[in-house]
Amino acid sequence: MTGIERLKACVACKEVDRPGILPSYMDRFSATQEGLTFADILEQPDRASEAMRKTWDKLGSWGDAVYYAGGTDIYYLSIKHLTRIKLPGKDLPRDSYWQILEAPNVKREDYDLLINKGWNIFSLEMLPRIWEITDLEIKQYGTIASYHKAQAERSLKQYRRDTEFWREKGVEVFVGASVPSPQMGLSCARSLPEYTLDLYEIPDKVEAATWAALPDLIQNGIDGCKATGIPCVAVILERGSGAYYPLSFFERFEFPQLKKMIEAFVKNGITPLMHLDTDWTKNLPYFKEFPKGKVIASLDGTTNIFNAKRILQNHVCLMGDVPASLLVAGTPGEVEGYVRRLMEDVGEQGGFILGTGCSMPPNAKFENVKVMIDTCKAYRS
Amino acid sequence: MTHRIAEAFQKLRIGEIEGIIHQAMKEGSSPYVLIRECQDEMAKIGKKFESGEYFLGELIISAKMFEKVVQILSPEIKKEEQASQKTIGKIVLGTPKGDIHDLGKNIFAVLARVAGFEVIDIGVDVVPGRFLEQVRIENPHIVGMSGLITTVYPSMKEVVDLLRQHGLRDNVKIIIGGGATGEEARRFVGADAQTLDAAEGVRICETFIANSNRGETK
Repeated sequence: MTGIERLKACVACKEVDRPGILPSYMDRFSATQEGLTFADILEQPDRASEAMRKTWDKLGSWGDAVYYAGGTDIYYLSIKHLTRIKLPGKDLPRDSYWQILEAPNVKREDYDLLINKGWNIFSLEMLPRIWEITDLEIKQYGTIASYHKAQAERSLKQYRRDTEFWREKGVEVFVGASVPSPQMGLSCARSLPEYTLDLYEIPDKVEAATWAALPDLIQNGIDGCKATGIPCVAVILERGSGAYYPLSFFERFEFPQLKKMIEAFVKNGITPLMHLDTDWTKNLPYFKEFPKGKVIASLDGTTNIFNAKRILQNHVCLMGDVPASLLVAGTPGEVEGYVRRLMEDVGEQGGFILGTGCSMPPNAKFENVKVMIDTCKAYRS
Repeated sequence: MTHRIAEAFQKLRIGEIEGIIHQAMKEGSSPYVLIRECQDEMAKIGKKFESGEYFLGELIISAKMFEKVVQILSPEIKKEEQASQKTIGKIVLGTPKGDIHDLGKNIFAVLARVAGFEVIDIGVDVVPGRFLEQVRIENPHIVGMSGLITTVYPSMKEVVDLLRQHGLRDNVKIIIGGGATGEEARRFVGADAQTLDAAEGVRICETFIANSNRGETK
């Protein structure tokens, strides 16, 4: 059984020889291992992906496939969520971690543009507030739109090149594209406090905006997967969980839109990988309405994954959730103990992929990461 | 007026709260009494959050309402009145160097103030030396540090180590909180407690005070 076959079997919630292994966002950890700063990996994507491949080899592989092919594409990250990001080497020291600024880049009066024109035209209008372009760059590309088109092409080219590097090593890349849910996109663009106010003060407008954003976001996911040739889309979710809002809000602003998104991806042969930060326990029963054996729910350690298994009962493949705190500050023995518990309680009857809670921390201890991977690899052997 | 304030908080009518407070002032209500009423309502919301009846979104809205009230009333409350307010303890609070996130910290600050703590919020991306300086100046019962990314752990540890080096560690309780923290991080940092939940963090701080032999601050 190849790694990708094992992961597909896990998604389908079939019993497998051992749980799949797919730690996410390994570029930051790899950079630290190879002595690169965070500025280095943003400025030099080839060095970032090279560091990932070296770290893969040092660990004796880190799983059944690679989550993302290359280093963090900060342009893509920023425009996807319409957020400004403080950058190492520019706004921060070169060895500082990049940090998303929680600020209302989109104003309340901008909702109408989104409702009338959809997410993509709306995003393009908002971009000058998100991503600064120098006069020289505008001169070079002719128009702002041309600049962004060129950036998108550059991102795609880099991703394809990184994917090829992995394939030359005999390793498949698992995720081909990434989109936020409408609610996640809006909350990031407006900032959590302002978006929350909108939910209470102008709920009808927010609801209309989520529906208006949906078709483009679905199409972006499908187009992204087609462009990379990798049929899995990471659906970024955090802001709509039961930790933030009552279920009545979930039922109005998040779930119906998310369900349509998931169904559209599945219909197009794409595996939706829901990246579920924060505690989704209260929302989990709704996930039984998704197509069975077609969806991954990646949990970050805040949702109790053991409880999630009992609630979802292999309707949805669970992924996660070795906590960041454990990987950074725990001992190898503690990591091994947690991974064993995951495999026995969550993975025993299939439908489980071992991963990190949210992302692999850049300062995770090498020996902890190794024991996490090796414990799973050796399971039942 | 009390019932209008209570209703505004219970129904999270953020657009109405400023008008209600201004009207109450016109009618001669004491700013001190008004702020106490708002604190009581916030405390009820905090309890509902802890019991699971309310959610983070409701805490965010109510915290914003409370901030608006404080903005209006603070200039009206005489300095001596402020000084005479009893607090149950003092917290020096910040996000250490390397992290600029402050949503959780800000919610914790509001809930802690409502619970009766004096909170000295020293902001985000704070160098360890500034925590030390503030502990020296303010002599707090508790130091609170918030963080959303794991790369902030060394800064948190540096704060604790600095306090120890200067003989101040035993004078304070230390709590860390935020999305990337956990028991292992608490142990690494050398803190006394860790939480992912602002309301739980306040309860922990109340326990620190209850078990402290330092008594009231004022």
